[in-house]
Amino acid sequence: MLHESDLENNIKITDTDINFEIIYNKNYIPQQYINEIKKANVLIIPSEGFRDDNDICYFPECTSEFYGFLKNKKKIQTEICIDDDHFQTLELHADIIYIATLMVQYVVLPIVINLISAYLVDKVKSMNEDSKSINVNIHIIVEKNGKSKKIDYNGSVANLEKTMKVVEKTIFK
Amino acid sequence: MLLLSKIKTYLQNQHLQLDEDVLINLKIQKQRAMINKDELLANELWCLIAVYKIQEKYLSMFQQLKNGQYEDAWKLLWQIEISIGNLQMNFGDEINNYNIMLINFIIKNYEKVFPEYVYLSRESIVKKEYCSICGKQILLRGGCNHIPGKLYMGELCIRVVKNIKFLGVAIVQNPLDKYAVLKIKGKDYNYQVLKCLMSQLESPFERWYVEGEKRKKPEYKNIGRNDKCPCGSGKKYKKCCLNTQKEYGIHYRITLLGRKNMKEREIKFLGRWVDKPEVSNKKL
Repeated sequence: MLHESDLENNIKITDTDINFEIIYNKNYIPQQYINEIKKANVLIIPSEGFRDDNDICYFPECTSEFYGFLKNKKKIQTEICIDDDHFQTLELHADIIYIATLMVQYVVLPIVINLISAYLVDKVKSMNEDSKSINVNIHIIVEKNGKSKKIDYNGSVANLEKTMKVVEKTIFK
Repeated sequence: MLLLSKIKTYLQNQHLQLDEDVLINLKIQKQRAMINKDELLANELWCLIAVYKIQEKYLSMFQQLKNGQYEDAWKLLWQIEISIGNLQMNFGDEINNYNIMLINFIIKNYEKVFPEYVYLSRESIVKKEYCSICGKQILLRGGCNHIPGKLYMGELCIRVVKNIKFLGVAIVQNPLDKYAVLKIKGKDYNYQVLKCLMSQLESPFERWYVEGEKRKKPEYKNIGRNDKCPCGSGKKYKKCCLNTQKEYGIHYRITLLGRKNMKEREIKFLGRWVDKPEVSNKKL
């Protein structure tokens, strides 16, 4: 992770083996919530390892607010893959907004993109910045018919929605 | 007790010094609204207090800049930035009636004429956070519903971190919190541009703005292709920075509005750092 926005607008799409089934079997999955997690079509998953510490499992700053924001939206079913005892956030005080990694079903990808954009509008406003000067770092793993693709976006908040709209239409073509 | 409508009119005007009684009145009225459980009024009064404090800090910041207290002014500038962000989340269109967006415009311009500070940025793992409104621990499932940055009965909701693991410190140029400015022994940041601007400004509400455009850096002008590259790599210019983005930097142009017969004056910028006065004197 970076502390500052020295990133150019950039989007990367790669094939990945990670799918919902693999996530369900991760060590960090809280078994007391496994039924809710299996019903969800959007999962917030932790990052694993930071610098020399491979065992560390964490989320970006403000993830609890982001989870609360998505959880309240009825068009999607969101769960976070951790319990409270193990929930921790990595605080970097960066001028980049980090969004926690998401695992989503392809059918809800357009809704998720709209929701992230709406979340970021308020976030940028609260930072007293404009969307052109603030960068966001997003990782979304999308699953469709057993195949998965990973979208990595490092770029301005202003360009996010436009870029992602193109991606959502072409990602599995 | 002052009427709220009178206080609002007062805050909508530009002042060079603020009347302390206005702030005292606002605080008393907010306390009453909280006792009466009038959340709408309490929240509005919180916003008006924030307006007063932003205006007050802005006036102090201008004075500090005039006095050459640049680092103190920088701290105030960032306090104002953060306060305006909080106000924007809670005051709606009302914010436009109190000169706040004008102050916001001006401080964003000041930011550009400050030297490019280098900062320290903390890396840490936050393990436990609490809500400033209800005091409850922040839980993913079944916690409180208070949202950070929003107002509840005249108080701003923030997260209180009580368990943190410190990982390290990074040296950066663009952190979120721009308070921890890194300094070098014997050196000062170069406030040449700011100093020149402040010598021209008479009032905190005078209008001016900064434009930035990409221009070739002075050190890359008038050099031959086979000369040593100015970047210090040791390579020939043609094999290093020639025709790359490294040759270009932001050139700032400050325009003072409402002046007659103004002429463009060049300020040669001599880099981020200058020797501290005592070091310069020793060299002489």
